[in-house]
Amino acid sequence: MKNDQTYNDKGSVLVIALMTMTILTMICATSLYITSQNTSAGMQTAAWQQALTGAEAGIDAAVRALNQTGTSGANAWTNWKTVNSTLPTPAPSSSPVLGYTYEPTGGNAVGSGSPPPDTSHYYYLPSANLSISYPNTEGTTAVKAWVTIDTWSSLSNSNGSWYRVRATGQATFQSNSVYKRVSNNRLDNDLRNTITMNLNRKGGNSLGPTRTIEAILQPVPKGGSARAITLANWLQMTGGGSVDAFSSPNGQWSSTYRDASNPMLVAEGATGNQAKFANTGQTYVYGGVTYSGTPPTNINAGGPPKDVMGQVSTPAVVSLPPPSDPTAVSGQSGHYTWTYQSPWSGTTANYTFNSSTTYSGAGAVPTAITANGTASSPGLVIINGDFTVSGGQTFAINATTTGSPPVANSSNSNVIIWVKGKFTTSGSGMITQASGTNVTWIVDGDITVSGSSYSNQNGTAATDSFVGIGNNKFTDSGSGNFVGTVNAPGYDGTISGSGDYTGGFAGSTLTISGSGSFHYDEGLSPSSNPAIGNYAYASWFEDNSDPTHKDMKGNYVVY
Amino acid sequence: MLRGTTTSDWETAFTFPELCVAIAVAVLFGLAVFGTNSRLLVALKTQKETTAATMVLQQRMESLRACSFTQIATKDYVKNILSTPTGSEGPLGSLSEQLAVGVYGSPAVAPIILLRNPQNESSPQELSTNANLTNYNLLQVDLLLQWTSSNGRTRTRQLSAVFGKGNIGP
Repeated sequence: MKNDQTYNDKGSVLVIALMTMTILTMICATSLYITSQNTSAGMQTAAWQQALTGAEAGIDAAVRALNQTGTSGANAWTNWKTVNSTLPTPAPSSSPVLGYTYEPTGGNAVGSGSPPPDTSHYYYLPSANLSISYPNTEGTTAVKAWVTIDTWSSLSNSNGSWYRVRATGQATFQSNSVYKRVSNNRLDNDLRNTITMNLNRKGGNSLGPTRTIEAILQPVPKGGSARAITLANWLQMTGGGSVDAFSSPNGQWSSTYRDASNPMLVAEGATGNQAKFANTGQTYVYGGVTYSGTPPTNINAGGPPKDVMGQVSTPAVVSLPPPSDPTAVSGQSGHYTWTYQSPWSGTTANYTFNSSTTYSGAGAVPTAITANGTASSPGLVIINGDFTVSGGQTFAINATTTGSPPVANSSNSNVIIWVKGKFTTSGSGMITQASGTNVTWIVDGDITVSGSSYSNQNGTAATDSFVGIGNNKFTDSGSGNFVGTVNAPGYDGTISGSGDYTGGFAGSTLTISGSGSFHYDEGLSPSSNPAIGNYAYASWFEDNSDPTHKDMKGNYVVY
Repeated sequence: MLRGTTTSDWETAFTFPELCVAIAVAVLFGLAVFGTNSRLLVALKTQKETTAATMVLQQRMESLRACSFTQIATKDYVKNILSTPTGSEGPLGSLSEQLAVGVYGSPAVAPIILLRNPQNESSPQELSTNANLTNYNLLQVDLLLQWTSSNGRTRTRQLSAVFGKGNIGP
């Protein structure tokens, strides 16, 4: 038998080398692929950031348009379009994919000077009119935004309608950009809001990250933020009194003129655990209450009757700029300047006093003065020390008169009285403010008004203003009615008598323990004035939901 | 039947040319791997720079978003914002930041342009100014970053926004 034996000494080095090279090549290629995708994803992230600024720009454009409508509305809605239907939510009918919102099409130009949209219209700003180019930079070449404004559920208050603004910003790339389609990574698709290879769920077939912001805008009336009772801290109501509102142009307060629909009569900035209504089977507030912090006790007591009849909301935005004393003009005796902003009207007045009358020492103050000066240039009376009108004493503030028989000249009967100490009336002591006068008291100490001791014969709160400086106390007691305003942001107030308080109060805290009621004069602030001063954000969030996209557990996806 | 025994001894070996080719292939491959590795490192550094630039832009824009319209339109105010270094600019070599505040849709109106670079790091240079921007309703703010990348390439990133009058403040 033949032994057929073959010795094969052929080497395999080349094969092994080629295999090794192939494997290394694949590793390198994979690394390059992943790295390049991550690089592109980084640029996509940057574009995502740019899309957000585009959406924010859209919100700003909407706020600007609404604000300009309230001032000089001629050019407010330039480039905006109107559609005679409610905003298509969540998707316009023209949307190629159900559940996804794209830029509206069609519509007519909003006319010059037109008001904001109503319940049967919505306005939109096409992206062609709100775009920002990104020349000579990496990645995004432009960011565009389109915006819609609608009234959304007709939410409104006495200041006017609220508006919902939706702004979608989209970053766009060049048509041949490698960043248009960058990876097979699911996260990348999510980041770019991509449904398929060529369809963006907010931007149609224009690929690039899109982001949508939805904001609810609340109208803020012209003027100050203060209302009936505006407190940096808390309110306690434990007596038999109530808080309601009326408008002085209708006449002096009576229950006939009660306006129970005022949405905000009480604003409490930091309630803690001290704010409360007693829930003794009565209505305490014929209007709304807004607070920050711990809800006041019984604020939601259901009744009947309810402790608070109107809206209860939180948080309260209380901004009470602290008033200051007049400032002496250097080198000019008796000359002063004073800047004061009313928290109700919001107007700031700058006074210059080129002369003043000063009383110093007990007994120096006369029993009567005459208010002389115009509204823009009132007289200034300075009382160095305390001002006290005790039992049996009187103090009269008379009007400047004209003609024969003399008639009060109200346009020339304005006076500012600066008390550098405490202001006190008590017992049968009486201050009489004549009809036609307008008096502002600047008080550096405690303010105590007791008894039937302050008679404002004008009958309107706007003519009698107390301005409290620093951190002190305010007390209103007795059976007399007080008609005026107190702006003392640092003061702790007490209203304990049986007399009513008509006007407004702005302070730190307030306790109403008597049977007297508080009547807010809506004429103090422009809340009854429909002119809108600005819009504030009641809500702001990014709409990043996907109405049709579910995760493995069946939950809707939010990116 | 007997058959003759046949012995076959293959003692083949690489010839010198084959060896030369193999060495050449290996060297080429090594160079390719080295090049790939270098490219990967550059890409990683690029990603790092991109992320850093994104964070710088985000910090600047958030600072500006916290301002009122009047503050945005005031040169000294935005200059103060730009004077403060950001916490993410470390990886960006020779960084220059340019902040431009102009009127949206009206490029003819002179903008405020401030430049912060290594020569003007704590006090940005004023390239242009306009004290009347509060008279307009919409302002466009452009933040432009330019830096030298690790491979010597000049890179640029931009983030722009429009600010409307009466947004968070007068």
